[in-house]
Amino acid sequence: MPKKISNKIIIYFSMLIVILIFFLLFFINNLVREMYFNMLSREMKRDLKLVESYYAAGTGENRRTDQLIAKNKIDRIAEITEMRITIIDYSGIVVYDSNVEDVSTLDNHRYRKEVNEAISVLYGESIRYSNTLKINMLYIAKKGEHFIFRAAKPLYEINNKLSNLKRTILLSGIIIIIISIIIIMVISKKISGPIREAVIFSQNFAMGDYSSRIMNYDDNEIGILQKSLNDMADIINEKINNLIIEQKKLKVTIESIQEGIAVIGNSGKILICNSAFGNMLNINTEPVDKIYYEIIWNSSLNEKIKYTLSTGKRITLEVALSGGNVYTAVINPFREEDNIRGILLVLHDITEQKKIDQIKTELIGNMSHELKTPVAILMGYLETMREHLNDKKMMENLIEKALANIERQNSLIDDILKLNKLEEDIRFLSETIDIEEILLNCIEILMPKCEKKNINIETAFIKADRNIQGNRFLAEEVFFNLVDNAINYNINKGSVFIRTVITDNSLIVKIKDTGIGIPADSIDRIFERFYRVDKSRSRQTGGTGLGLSIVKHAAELLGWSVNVLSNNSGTEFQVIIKIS
Amino acid sequence: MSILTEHELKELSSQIYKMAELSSEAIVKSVDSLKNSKIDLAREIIENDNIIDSLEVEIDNECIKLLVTRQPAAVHLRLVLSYLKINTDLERIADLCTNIAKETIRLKGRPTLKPLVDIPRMAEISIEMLKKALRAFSEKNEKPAEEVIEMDNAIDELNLQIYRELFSYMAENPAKISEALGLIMVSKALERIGDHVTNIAERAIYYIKGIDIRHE
Ligand SMILES: Nc1ncnc2c1ncn2[C@@H]1O[C@H](COP(=O)(O)OP(=O)(O)OP(=O)(O)O)[C@@H](O)[C@H]1O
Ligand SMILES: [Mg+2]
Repeated sequence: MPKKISNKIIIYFSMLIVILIFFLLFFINNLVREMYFNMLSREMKRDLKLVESYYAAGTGENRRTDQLIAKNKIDRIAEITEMRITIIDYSGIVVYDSNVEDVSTLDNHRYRKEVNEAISVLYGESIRYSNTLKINMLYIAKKGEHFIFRAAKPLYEINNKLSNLKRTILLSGIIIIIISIIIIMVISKKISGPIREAVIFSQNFAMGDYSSRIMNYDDNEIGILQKSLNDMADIINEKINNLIIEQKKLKVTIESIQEGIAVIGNSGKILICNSAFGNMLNINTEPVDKIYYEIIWNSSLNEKIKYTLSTGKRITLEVALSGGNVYTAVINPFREEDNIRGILLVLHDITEQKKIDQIKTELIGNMSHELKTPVAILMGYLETMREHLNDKKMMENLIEKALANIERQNSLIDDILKLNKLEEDIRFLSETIDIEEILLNCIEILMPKCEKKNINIETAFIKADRNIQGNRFLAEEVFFNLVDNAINYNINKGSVFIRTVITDNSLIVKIKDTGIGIPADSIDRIFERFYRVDKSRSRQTGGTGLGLSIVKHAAELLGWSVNVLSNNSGTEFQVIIKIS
Repeated sequence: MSILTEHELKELSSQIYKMAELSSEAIVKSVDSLKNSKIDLAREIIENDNIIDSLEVEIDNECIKLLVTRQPAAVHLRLVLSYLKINTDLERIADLCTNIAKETIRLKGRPTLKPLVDIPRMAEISIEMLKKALRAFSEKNEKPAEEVIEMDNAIDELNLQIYRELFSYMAENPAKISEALGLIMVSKALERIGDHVTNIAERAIYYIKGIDIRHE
């Protein structure tokens, strides 16, 4: 609990008031006392003059009687004024005392303070404790012609009066203290209230409540403080909002990037990362704030990250992460005034590219094989021919075979060229095509092949909406190759069913055969170039493995899709043509 | 004598993580070599085992050095002691992976007996367990460790299932006995790997809670 300012104010003010009141008490006390004494002594002096005049009267001819009368008078005065009156001669012998009958018992008064003073300066004064009356007395002495006249008055009166006064002052002092404490409390509340409000406000602000503000300003310095606190809060709020927006922008930006991105601080903690990063590493916990090696789980990548964090050297490497995907990882240090602050790790998925690379190498291998084999065979035939120039029958046979091989070579080169053309994605012009007509045309071209294998083609075309937007050349490539395969990979005396079906938004061409089917693990691969399920069998049918890749490319260019359904009693290819 | 610094502990745990990563990679590779008949990969695993062995020695020395020169107390003592123990477990895991690799070489690649489904599954689970166990350490949270102990049951079950299945194959086709035995060895190795990971998880609980739950 912090000390309150209001408490302090109350304590100091109360102390001040108490001190003031005591001063007041002291002053008033002295003042009143002095005034009282002055008044008293004036009165007593006056009375003494009276006494003197009476006493002087008693010194005439009829001394005895006059003296008696004077004594009586003075006794009366003493009685009325409640004074003790003493008359002392210059040698200090008491000649009269209103309180004592037998004055001879009294000791010499010559050196009483008041008497002494009176002898030298006419009047003397003193306050003493009277042994005779056992009380504090005020003595006033006056020098007369032959005698010193002294009056004494007990002081209990003034003491009573003064203590009364003291009590009143003390009482009112206490009342003043209480009232002023109440006033101070109210005032300090007024001062510390807004301060406390400001304190609570700033504490809440620090705790993250950025929306609340101080409501009513006072019209003073504290009001200014409150207002500037509010202004400050507004500014901070805006700054924070800007930061949040910036961070969101950054987040959105790095989220929208396909590459896996992570920023790792020099303590090894992951500061920022995107979800692609999490997906690539196949993690299901929140990676931010974890140490990189707790998340990445790849020893070679981690080693390189550690290396870059300590040396600041940029590294690019290829890593295989969980799930068998391959990535290039770029580890880039970032610095601040030559100190390595951390690294930026970028993971780029190159699995696809790797696959393509592999396919390319395979393709080159295949292609050179495909191209070289017929040439080698041809060479063999030609060499044999040179040795048997005279054997006409053999020559004819050899030439026949050589031509067949050249034809094979030729069709292969045709296919490769076609494929190349399709891959270059040339814009084929869009025209209205008639699917049924194209299919019939393909069947006609392939008729001789069917007759050779005794294959029966059955067609069932739907009559609706035969005009489709597309490209004749591409469509022919699609259907020719599919029907060609349906014949090639059919059994002898098998059948091919070609049907068209119409659904809500597409026309489906189904080409079904009664052939040997495609094994499940090859289905995904038959559209790859040069891929053939059974190399030896395909060799018999003269295929090169390019047909379906031509189909795939042509269909893609047309915006069509091709599905395959196959089991060991036949295969069905479906060409799905979207119609609007 | 100075006290154990955060930095030293961090260095040590990064070493442990490296060890764990190498072991988990060994699991992936060994099963991959078996599944996809990668004999070369199998050879590589066996060759690389000495890297893990020397890392184990290095970590052991580091732990002992810290124990002697820094005399850690309480939590830190438990952590270093746990690391010392799990280091051995991790090395054993890598060893078991070389066993799998040797089986691959002996079988000359993928066994044709049956499609490999359960064995890669066991490998996947054990890697998941290993990651969880280490997460328990770095997050000082016993929950993942408790999950690991739970998951070990799944591995044991898969192992039993593989046993039964392979025994039936052996009975049907005596010519395949050698192949089936090879797979049983692999399954057994994976089951042992699961046990070692469970040890690691128990160590994590010991480190976090300060109680030993082994042999309970
Ligand atoms: N209808 C089908 N039935 C069974 N297998 C098929 C069928 N269609 C294609 N295949 C398989 O897919 C492979 C690839 O076919 P693709 O048409 O691409 O090449 P190809 O027929 O061998 O050669 P070509 O380039 O002369 O067409 C074929 O070798 C064959 O094994
Ligand atoms: Mg074909």
